[in-house]
Amino acid sequence: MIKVKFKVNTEEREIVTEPTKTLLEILRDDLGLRGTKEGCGKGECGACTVIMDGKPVVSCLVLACQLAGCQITTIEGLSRDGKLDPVQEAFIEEGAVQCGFCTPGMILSAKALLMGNQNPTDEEIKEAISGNLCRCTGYIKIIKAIQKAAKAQRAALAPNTSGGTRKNRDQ
Amino acid sequence: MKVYSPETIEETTKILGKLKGNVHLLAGGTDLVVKVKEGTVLPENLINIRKLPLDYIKEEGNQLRIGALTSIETIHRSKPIRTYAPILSDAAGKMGSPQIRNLATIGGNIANASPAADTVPPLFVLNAQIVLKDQKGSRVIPIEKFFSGPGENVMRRDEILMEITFRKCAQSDEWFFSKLGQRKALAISKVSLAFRGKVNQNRLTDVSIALGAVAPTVIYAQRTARFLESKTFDSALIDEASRIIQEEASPISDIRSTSEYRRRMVGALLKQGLWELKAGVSPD
Ligand SMILES: Cc1cc2nc3c(=O)[nH]c(=O)nc-3n(C[C@H](O)[C@H](O)[C@H](O)COP(=O)(O)OP(=O)(O)OC[C@H]3O[C@@H](n4cnc5c(N)ncnc54)[C@H](O)[C@@H]3O)c2cc1C
Ligand code: FES
Ligand code: FES
Repeated sequence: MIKVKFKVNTEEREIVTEPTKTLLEILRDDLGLRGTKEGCGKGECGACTVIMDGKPVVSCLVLACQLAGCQITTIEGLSRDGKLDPVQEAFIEEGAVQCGFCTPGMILSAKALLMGNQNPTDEEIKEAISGNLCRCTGYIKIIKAIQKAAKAQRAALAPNTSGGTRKNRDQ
Repeated sequence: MKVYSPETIEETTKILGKLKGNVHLLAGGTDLVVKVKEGTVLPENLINIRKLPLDYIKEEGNQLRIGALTSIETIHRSKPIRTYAPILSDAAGKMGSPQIRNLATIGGNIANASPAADTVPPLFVLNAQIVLKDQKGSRVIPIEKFFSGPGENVMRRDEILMEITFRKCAQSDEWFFSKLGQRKALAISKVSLAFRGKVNQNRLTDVSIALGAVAPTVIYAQRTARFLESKTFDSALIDEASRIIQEEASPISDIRSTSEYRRRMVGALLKQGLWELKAGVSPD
């Protein structure tokens, strides 16, 4: 057993665990954060995606012994004071969720993209979610939702420049 | 299973030197953790090397040095690599998915010794050198001497892969990396091909070609490369080269494809790449 200290969303956590337990198992079983899903367990489906030190990773392939000092963001950490993240809002508004199993991972991949790119092209969005399988939606509404979230994020970041030029570019 | 998390290279080589029984180094874990989960690898000792200071890309004169723990995504996005080894950046961008590329390291891709490892054919045509270290010192091995079979390499059990070095490419170098997988993202290569060369007055020179997933290790297609050099770069040359390279490749049949399919695809990848290259360099 080892002791690891790392941060999940806003909380510092210290847990005692098997060094080879996966981050996915720790989140779901030790910390009760069940928003992160297990699909394939082999890095292929993206259902278990979390943001680790600013980058999307598959939590099913990260082991406990690699977590010391890391910052992990899970789907539970996106809302602020009871208000959903713009990406979550956009997924609901665009109907980008059907069975919902891929959704937490999909949203975190989208969030990671939007943290570094405020104005992604459809191609960049497709690349960013290329590691997230969805068996229900056909992806079109997901891409639309991410574009919508990007737009909302730009508007929120530049509230005073909602003039003509920006609008034109967005259309 | 015992797990070690050393923080320095010295500590790591010391542990490696002392341990009896099987030992596995854990970098990004995208190969190793899958194997442990599938039960094909049962480590008695696991050394987590994630925290070692081997995450860097350095320019030194006409050389580039890449630390073994540099992630595939970092390599894909790196400005010096895009400028001086664009074929490596391109191949890195064609691996796995963003979530895999952020974990996966170049050292892991090489050490894992899969004949389908996507950074390896580019490293062959870059004439890369692999730097290994043990308790006593370092040794340098040319990449084409590093692999001894599928999943096998020449590293001793007390060694760690430290870095990869190669000469910067010239601006005038032409290159392409083609990979054929089941689909665009998350596909292991069925066949891959790295090409590097120069075009002067409609003739190819300094040609180097490496093939992935068609033999027990990545191989050079030397006969094809020599054949392409110093002749008129026309459609007859391209057709003949694509025939010769099919003879040179010795692919296997496995669950991903038959050997006949792989052989033909090697020819097709070369043909397509050379036609695109020709279209890009000639004014007509
Ligand atoms: C879903 C998925 C998709 C993938 N797609 C691709 C793809 O498209 N192309 C491709 O080439 N690969 C692909 N891979 C394979 C894998 O991601 C790469 O080979 C990756 O680069 C391995 O690096 P790692 O750091 O994760 O290695 P690890 O799993 O940590 O290690 C792999 C092996 O190398 C050894 N090792 C690692 N670092 C060192 C070192 N510094 N010194 C000595 N030994 C070391 C380990 O002991 C282990 O035996 C994929 C994997 C998955 C799960
Ligand atoms: S459960 Fe992790 S990628 Fe499928
Ligand atoms: S909504 Fe069902 S898998 Fe995506």
